[in-house]
Amino acid sequence: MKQYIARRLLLAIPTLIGVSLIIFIIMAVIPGDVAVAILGDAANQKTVAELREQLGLNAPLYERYWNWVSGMFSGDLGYSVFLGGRPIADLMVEHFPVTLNLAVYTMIIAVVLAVPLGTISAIRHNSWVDYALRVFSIIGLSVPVFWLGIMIVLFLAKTFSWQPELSWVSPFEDPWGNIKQMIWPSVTLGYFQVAFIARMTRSSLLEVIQEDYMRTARSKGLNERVVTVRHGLRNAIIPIVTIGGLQFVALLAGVVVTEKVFNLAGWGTLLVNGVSNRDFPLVQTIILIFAGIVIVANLLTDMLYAWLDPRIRYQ
Amino acid sequence: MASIESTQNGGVSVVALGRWSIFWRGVTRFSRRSPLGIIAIAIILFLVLMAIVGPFVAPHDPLELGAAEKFSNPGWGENLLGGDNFGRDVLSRILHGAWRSLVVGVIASVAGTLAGGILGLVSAYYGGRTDAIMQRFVDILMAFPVIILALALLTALDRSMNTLIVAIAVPFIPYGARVVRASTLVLKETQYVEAARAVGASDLRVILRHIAPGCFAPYVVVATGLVGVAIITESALGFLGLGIPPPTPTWGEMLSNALTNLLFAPYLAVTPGVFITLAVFSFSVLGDSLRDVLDPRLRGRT
Repeated sequence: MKQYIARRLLLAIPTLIGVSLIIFIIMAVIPGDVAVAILGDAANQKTVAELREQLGLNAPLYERYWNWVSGMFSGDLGYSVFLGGRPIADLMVEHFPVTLNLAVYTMIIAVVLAVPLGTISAIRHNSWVDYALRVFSIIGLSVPVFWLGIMIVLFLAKTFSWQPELSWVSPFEDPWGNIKQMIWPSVTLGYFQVAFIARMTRSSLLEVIQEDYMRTARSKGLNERVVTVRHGLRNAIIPIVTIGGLQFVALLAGVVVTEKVFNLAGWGTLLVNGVSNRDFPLVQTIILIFAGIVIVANLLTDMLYAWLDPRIRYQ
Repeated sequence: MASIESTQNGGVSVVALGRWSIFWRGVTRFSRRSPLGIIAIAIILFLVLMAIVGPFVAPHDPLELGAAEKFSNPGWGENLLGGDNFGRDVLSRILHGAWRSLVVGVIASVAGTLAGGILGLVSAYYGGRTDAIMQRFVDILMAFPVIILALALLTALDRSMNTLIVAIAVPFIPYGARVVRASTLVLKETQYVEAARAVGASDLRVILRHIAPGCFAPYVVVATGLVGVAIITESALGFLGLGIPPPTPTWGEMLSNALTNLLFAPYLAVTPGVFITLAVFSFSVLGDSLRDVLDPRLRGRT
């Protein structure tokens, strides 16, 4: 197991370096002069030159890359061009709780609903419950997150005169207020996750149900619940965990649009504003962190995987 | 075209398999196995028709201000789907937006997965160090969620339909690479490939004649499913204000525009969303149905 984890960790490092290189190259090939792009064509040459100096654009590429990466390690993430030249580290810290809050609630909804729904669907294969749940998940997979969000806002506003809060309510100061504020964005984002994971659970469990050991378990007199949970779900869970881990990627992508719909000031909003202002120091850092989270999530998925299935561990 | 020779033989028709009969057999099998797939195809045909004919039958210029009364409700009359906040005809904008969604979706998906597919094929065929390097590259691209990598590219590129296609296609490269690589790894060990090599076929010939056709089915499955992802990404970017710049009508931009007057004119947010959903639904369902029909291992399940 230790060897397995070590190997995974070692593989993650070159991936992370590659990710940072790709982001850096994309930002470096911005056509034309970045400083001009930021300031507009009308800017005078002196301001342009000053901005170039300030952004460190005069240094050779490898030096710029090194400055960026080594800065990351020492906690200096650079400065935003647009948001008053504020340190990116501060902006990230400031916007982090909202995104974390959204992600945590969404994960809770996904885990609590998806696996039971998928299990019911598989056990009651081809019954009306199964059909209803399949329709439910097919809709969840097709409706764009942002449109679902808009429809939810619309429904709440029309029926309950609900209005989104103007700023984030901390769960530590006002737990109920926080839930009232964040439940709908989380449901919006969570529907896709629930649909996806429930579908995966269903097909994975359907496969396991046909196995011989399920019949054996039943014939030795175990009750149906033990058979389903301990023999069925235990074996079906491996693909579910993998998909669940991959779904984390979709969650990060969904955060970006959901925050816009519900007017939440999180990392997604920060990123979108950065992109529209071509605030490249901000964008490259947020994207590196997003990709880093994906890599770590994949790493954790692999480990969970090995923990659940000894066959993988001893390969 | 291969000829179809069929002779009636005691009520049982013996068919020498021509291309068309293989095709029709495929169609029958598809419709039997996957009724939902047929619905998906019907929706796609409808959307394609809309994309081709739409701009010609649209009652108004999609940019014409005052073509409809501002915020007028949908209803029978001159503006079937109502008017938006600038008094533009919503139906005309939907019709003019259709081809943009489909073109961006299809081209981005095909281009991205094809580039990835070629990468995967070459990587698996030559193996060794080439494969190891390309696999690292694929892993690296996989670390980016599609829309996040598209956002990174859009920071550097200007905003137009072409750059949007590039920004959505690049994140698809690893998906094409993975499936084609997996098929190639299996195919290159088959005896017919060995036989082709033995008679002195060049690498290029082996790849094009013997391996690529075998990768086609899994490739089509992935590419079809990703058309849906591309359409959703295009409209998400439009919604975030980073797509084809307004006033050009796209479904995503219409949604973004609707958000500003959401409570006052809710229907403006409903129509574009319905069409985006239909497009995404039909392509992802078609992708799934194709997989069910083409993958023999899945036959007889679900």
